[in-house]
Amino acid sequence: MSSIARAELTDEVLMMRFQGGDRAAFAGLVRRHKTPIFNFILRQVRTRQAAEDLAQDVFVKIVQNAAEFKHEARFSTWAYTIARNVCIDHQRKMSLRRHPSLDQASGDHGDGPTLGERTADTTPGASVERVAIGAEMGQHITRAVELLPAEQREVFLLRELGNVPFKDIAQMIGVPENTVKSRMRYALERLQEALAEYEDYARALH
Amino acid sequence: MDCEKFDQHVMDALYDELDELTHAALKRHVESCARCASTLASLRATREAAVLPLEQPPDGLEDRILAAVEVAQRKTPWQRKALRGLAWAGSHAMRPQLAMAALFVLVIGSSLLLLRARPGTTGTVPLRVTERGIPTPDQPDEPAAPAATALPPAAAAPMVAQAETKRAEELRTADSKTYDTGRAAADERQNNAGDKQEADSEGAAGGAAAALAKAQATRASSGCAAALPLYDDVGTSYPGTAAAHTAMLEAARCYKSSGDPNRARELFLALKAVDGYRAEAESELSAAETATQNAAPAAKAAAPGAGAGAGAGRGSYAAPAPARAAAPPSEDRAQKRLAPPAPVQADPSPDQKRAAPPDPASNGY
Repeated sequence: MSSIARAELTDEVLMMRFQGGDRAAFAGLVRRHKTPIFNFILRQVRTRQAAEDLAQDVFVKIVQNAAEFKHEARFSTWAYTIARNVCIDHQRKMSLRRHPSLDQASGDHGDGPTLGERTADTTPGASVERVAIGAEMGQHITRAVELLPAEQREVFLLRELGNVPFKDIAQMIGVPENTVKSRMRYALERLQEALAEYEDYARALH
Repeated sequence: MDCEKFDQHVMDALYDELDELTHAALKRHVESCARCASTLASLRATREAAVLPLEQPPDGLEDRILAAVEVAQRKTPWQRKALRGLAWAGSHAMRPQLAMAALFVLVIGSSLLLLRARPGTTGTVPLRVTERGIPTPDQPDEPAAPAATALPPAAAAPMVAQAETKRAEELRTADSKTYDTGRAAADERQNNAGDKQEADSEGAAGGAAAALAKAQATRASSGCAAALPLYDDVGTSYPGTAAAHTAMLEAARCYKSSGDPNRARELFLALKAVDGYRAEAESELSAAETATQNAAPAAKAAAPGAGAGAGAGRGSYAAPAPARAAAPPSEDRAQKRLAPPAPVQADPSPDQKRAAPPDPASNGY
């Protein structure tokens, strides 16, 4: 089985092969999903170190529970259900340890405004002058996503990064499908506002 | 489609989750509705613009994941399987029908077990005889045995008596099981005086014969103390064979000569149930009885006649008596069971009996 042919295989087929004992199939799944899953976790837990550890946990759990995966199911839905649970567990542990939250002053700019203030602010700080617009835009979006209310952010990340259908998200979270779609729409509208402000600013820079 | 319906489906449309029919209806509505058209357009623009940039995980992450997975796969499978099995069993155990069925099986099963625990089923008992009989001087229950004989019957500990009763019962159970083997051995014994030859003629029991021969040789060279464990081994390793019975007999004699009459008596009592050895055992027991009687004449005074063999002479009385002398009346029942061939005992001459073939009537016991 060449790697080109493997790249064309669906996640579900790879998973089935892995269940049959094909380790290379699992390596293929890791290669394909490690980055989106890492980002899904990173946007929720916010530190790279934690995100790396948790991403590893997710794949270990995928292997441990491989026997429970049914092929009628979508692999990504199943994998992101695990990833979501891993994140929830982590956040529960962190909240017990009084981990710094979004509302506290950010660590790297200890004296600066909170992350919320920094990103909600239409006028950027002096340190971010005249950098490449693309990268700046990306950071802006990232911050805007991190600022979304948790339930909207969760739906947004599942749909955008995990490509999980609304119906599956509804099942995963345990709310009606329409609620999921509403959350997604609110999330997009908030991002739209954030982007509009950014575009105004970007235009002003030129 | 109206605007309300449009709002319900706009997100599906945005993420291509609509079926063709609904999608077509939505398209038609957007073409005729400016509000919905602008909503869809701006949402679509946002979706296209607000693409979350992906941060690349470190290069080592993939290897790290695969290594961790390797470890997890090696470690956990059976534990998880066990847990899963437990969960499955748990979920099924909660079903009332299954609980009822389990209870039913338990009740029937336990009553069957009780039924089967009657004589004739326990297979491992000969082991116990020899295990207990190991004559190591530092054996914990060693002091109790001489005490039982030395003291007058009134002082004999009831616990010892009870243990003896139990053991005797077990012995009998085992012996009645190995009855046929014993009988065959007895027949051979009629012809062959030599123990080794007898064991050899057992055929399959060649190992038993060899072990017995070794024990005999040890006894001849090093005496009883050294030979006893070997005899015990024969009994343990080849229960029910003629060699085992012979070993029991020899061990009993050893015990007798080494001043442990209680153990000797146990073995003789056991052997009494084995046909070929009955006469020998009885003669030994009667000898022991006489000795005990001489030692404690008072004990006998209160004792009634020896069960079924009412008309029996002094000698035939021998078998049950020593136990009686050493134990409280609670032992009576056990002793009666222990000494079933009472009619045979009525014949006082051991020699005569030894010559006679086994009596089918008494075998019926």
